[in-house]
Amino acid sequence: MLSDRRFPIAALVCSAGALLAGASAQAQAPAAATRDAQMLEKGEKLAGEGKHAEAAAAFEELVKTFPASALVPDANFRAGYAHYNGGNYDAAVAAFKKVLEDKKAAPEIAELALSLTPQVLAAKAGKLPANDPNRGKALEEAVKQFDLFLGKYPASEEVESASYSKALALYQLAKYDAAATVLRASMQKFAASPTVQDTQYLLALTIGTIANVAMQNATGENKAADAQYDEAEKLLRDIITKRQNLALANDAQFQVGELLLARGGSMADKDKQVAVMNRALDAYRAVQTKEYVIAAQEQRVAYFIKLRADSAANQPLFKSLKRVIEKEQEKLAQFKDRGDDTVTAKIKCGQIFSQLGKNDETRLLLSFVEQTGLATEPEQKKLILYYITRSYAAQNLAAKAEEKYNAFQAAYKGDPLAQDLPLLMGAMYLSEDPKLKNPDKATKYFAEAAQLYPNTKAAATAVLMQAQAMIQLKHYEEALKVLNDTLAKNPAKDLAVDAEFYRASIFAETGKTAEAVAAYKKVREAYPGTPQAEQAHFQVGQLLAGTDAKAAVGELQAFIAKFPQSVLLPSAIFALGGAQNASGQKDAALATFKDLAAKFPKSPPAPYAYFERAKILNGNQKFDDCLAVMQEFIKSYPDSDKLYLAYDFVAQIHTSRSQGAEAIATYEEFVGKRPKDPATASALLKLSTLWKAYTDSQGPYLAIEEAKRAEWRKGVEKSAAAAERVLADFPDSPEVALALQTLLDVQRLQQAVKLKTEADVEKYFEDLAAKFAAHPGTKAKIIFTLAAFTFEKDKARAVQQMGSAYKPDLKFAPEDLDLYGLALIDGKKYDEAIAVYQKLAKDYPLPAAGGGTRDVQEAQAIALAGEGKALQEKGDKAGGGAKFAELEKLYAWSPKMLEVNYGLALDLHDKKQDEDATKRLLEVIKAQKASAELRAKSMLLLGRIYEANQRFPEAIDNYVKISVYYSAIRPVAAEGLWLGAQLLERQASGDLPMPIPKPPPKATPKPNPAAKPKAAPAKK
Amino acid sequence: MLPRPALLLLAAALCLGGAACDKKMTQAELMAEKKKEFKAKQKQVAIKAYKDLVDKYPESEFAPKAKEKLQQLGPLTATPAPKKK
Repeated sequence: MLSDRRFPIAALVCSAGALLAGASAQAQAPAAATRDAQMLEKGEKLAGEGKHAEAAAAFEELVKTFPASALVPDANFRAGYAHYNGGNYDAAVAAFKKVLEDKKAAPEIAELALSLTPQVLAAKAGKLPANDPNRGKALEEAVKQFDLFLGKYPASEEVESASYSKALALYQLAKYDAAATVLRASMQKFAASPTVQDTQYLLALTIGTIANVAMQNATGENKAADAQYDEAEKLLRDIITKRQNLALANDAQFQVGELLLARGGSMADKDKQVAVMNRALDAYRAVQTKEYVIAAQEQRVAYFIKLRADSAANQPLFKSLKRVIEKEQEKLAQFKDRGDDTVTAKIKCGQIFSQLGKNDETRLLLSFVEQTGLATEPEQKKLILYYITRSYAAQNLAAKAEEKYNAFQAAYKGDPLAQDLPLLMGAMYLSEDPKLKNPDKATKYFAEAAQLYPNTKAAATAVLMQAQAMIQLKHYEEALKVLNDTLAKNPAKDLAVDAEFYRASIFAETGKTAEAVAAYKKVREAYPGTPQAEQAHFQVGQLLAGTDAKAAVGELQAFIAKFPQSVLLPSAIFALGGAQNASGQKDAALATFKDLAAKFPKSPPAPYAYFERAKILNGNQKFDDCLAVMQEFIKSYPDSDKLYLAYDFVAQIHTSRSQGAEAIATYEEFVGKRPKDPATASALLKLSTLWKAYTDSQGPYLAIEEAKRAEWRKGVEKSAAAAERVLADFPDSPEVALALQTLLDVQRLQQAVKLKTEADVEKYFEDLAAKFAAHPGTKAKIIFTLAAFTFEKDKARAVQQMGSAYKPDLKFAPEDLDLYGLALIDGKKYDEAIAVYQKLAKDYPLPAAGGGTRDVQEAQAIALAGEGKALQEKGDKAGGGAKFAELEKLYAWSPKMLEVNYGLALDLHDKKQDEDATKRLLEVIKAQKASAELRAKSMLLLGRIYEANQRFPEAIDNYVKISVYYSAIRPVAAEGLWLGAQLLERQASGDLPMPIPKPPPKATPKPNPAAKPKAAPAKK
Repeated sequence: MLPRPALLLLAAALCLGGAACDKKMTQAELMAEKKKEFKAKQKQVAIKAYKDLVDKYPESEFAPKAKEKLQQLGPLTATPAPKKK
């Protein structure tokens, strides 16, 4: 944060030059063209041409040739100055030393030489790298020389300047307190000086630095540092407010930003940090342009020139103002050479946005600076690229982040500024977003961090993050190896504790609970006082809760006692309640959960504590207490996202106690309170089901008296109304399918008791569909429901209805499309069916990274089964078989596998692999979940297989019995009778031999009577 | 299980009433008889299956063929109804 506003040395030497010019003129007066004078003149000429080494040589030649000349002190001084200008600082100091040792030297020259010596030493230090030991030595020597000068010439005009420069040297030696002491004294002594604000400015920066150093080593708040920040800011704002020196005020403005940026960066309290950072932004935004600064400085120079002209009568003032003007002119030259501070200020604003996580703002601002060409210095360009890359990585915009990262590494490979960039890039690929998650890439970046920045904190962090990436890849052994290797190298404590903690986490994640507990215990015992130790203690209790609840109770109680202020306390209390419950301490568990909700009502586990209490009470059959707890929750957390769960819990208790009316009232209360809550769809569906149950509870409509019939009708109406509201208010919810199923059931119920005709039911669904004309998706679902109704009587019409509702651009429920696809197959429209199933697979895509939700996988299973079936029916048995094989490989758990087994059996029979085919068919015939049609067809195929293998009695048995078990599956039953009868006829004619009696074969399993034949595929 | 005296009486009654006791058949004759019975029985079962097909599934593509078969095979032999006790 320190910029060098040192009093210009050249100004001092200019004054000296004038002085010396007078001196040499006097010396030259008696003999105008002496040789020594000519040599002095030659040196002056060379110095004027910027040939400093040659000038110094000329002056030194004079001293060597004419050691007795009166011009020797002058020549030595000029040689020293020429060496200084040529960057030959040691020679300059040596030359000034000669002046100081020369008794013939005029006092003014001696004072100048002594004044310049420390300045030259400071300049020498300034040219050396920060880590060069000679730099410190030069600065130490400069301080010593400043002290010598100040001691010898306490009344010199250069005292203020020397004090400033001494403080600067002390600052550079990191002796900030000493520097501040010098500057405070100087401010007091030269309070009226026109340049006192320079001292004030340096004092502010020094105090700010003291605070920064204190905060770097602080672990929390530091009141002393806060006071220092306040004082530093006050000193800077004083310069800004007084507007005495607008160029300096502008520098002070920039430094206020720097001060606040540093202060905010060390703040733990996020709100306070944001407030301070916003003030820093304000400060940077107020920084003025280079043109403004130059104009202000020119005005300042002009002011002093006029003041001097007006002070001609006052010679001391007149003389001192000359020095001031020279200094200010030197500063003006510096401002002209300097870049525009507003550009740096803008980059700083970008940095602040980055720190505040405002990545869009960072990029917008810095891209503007970059694209408008404002950034001209290489350092500025580097910073801009760094922060833009950072912003993309932080926002997980991988493509752009990679592009910028590669650009940065190409231009500034291994630059210390960007130590965190490979870590950020890697972290981006550890994202939970499946589109982004790429632990392999993450590992690559972490390896790069370790390679580019070896032996740094970034490298150490990279090792841990690399282990994290491996954990994500489930490469636990590799992750453990990385961590063990790290620990074997005896790393720093902060790295070791993380590595140990990660090891424990891997054990926990891989189900090695005993190892995990041991590892967490090691963390808490080996690294007491660390946040990891605290967390490890909690984890021990948490993990034990699953294996040894009693031990967990002890561990968690110890944690609660030891860390009463821990942020994990609510979670620990919750875990304790769970462990107490698991170890049979039900009353203690109830008290613990109650305690949690009372002490930490706003903590994340508090709402769950109510449900845990309710579960315990429910288990103990204390239903009234259970209801009271849930009511308490409803009252305490009216805005909770778990509110529905509480209502549902209450309603279910009522239902289990046959209190249907109370259950209905409960759901109705929720619907009234939260009409737009997504859970309301579920509540409405429950209401619809409860009202239907109410209807059923009235008894058979035709057999009950009129009063009950009225209630029956009321139940039907309420059930339908609730289901219709699901459609109207939540048309895209998953409850729609079930609501439509309930509506279909309710309509069938009315049709069964002659309250409605088949035509009425159809009209009902047609009218309902018409209401949703503006919602094609919902309308299509309603028509599909109607089709399911029609399917029972008229498959062709059902296909027509579904065909009219089917739109390739609409997304349907997989079950609806399956119904349509099966109907198309039934109508021998195989290609259309294949298209429907292919659309289904496309509408429910599997994520590229694999996996996918159960629903998506089920949709894929339906699509494969349907397409396979269509292909087989079309005659492409191999194609169908391939689809079924894929289904069996990927979704063996799917109910669709039964269809697959049938399909595969067809294929196997074709390939004469009848044993396998028979096995699969027997599985289908036995399965209760299989549809009647599928089982009937399986029996028919089994008959064919037996026939082909000349097992005629078994073949006849299967053929003929289809009509006994599945008479409703008419085409199959008829074909079975036809095939069976033909075989019987052949037996009757003697074409087939009479079977030789033998132990009865394993009969085809009798279908389970519980699995009633269905006329149409079930619509979910 | 019946008591022993009763079992002996039952065996004697069967022997007295059965044709097998009058003329002992050869193994081949026995087999031919069984085949004949089997064929007759299968014919009846086939006719019943064709009839079921025609009666229950008249819309079936196999129904017309089944009718033809029924004409060829003739009517079902009447099964005597069990006597009422």
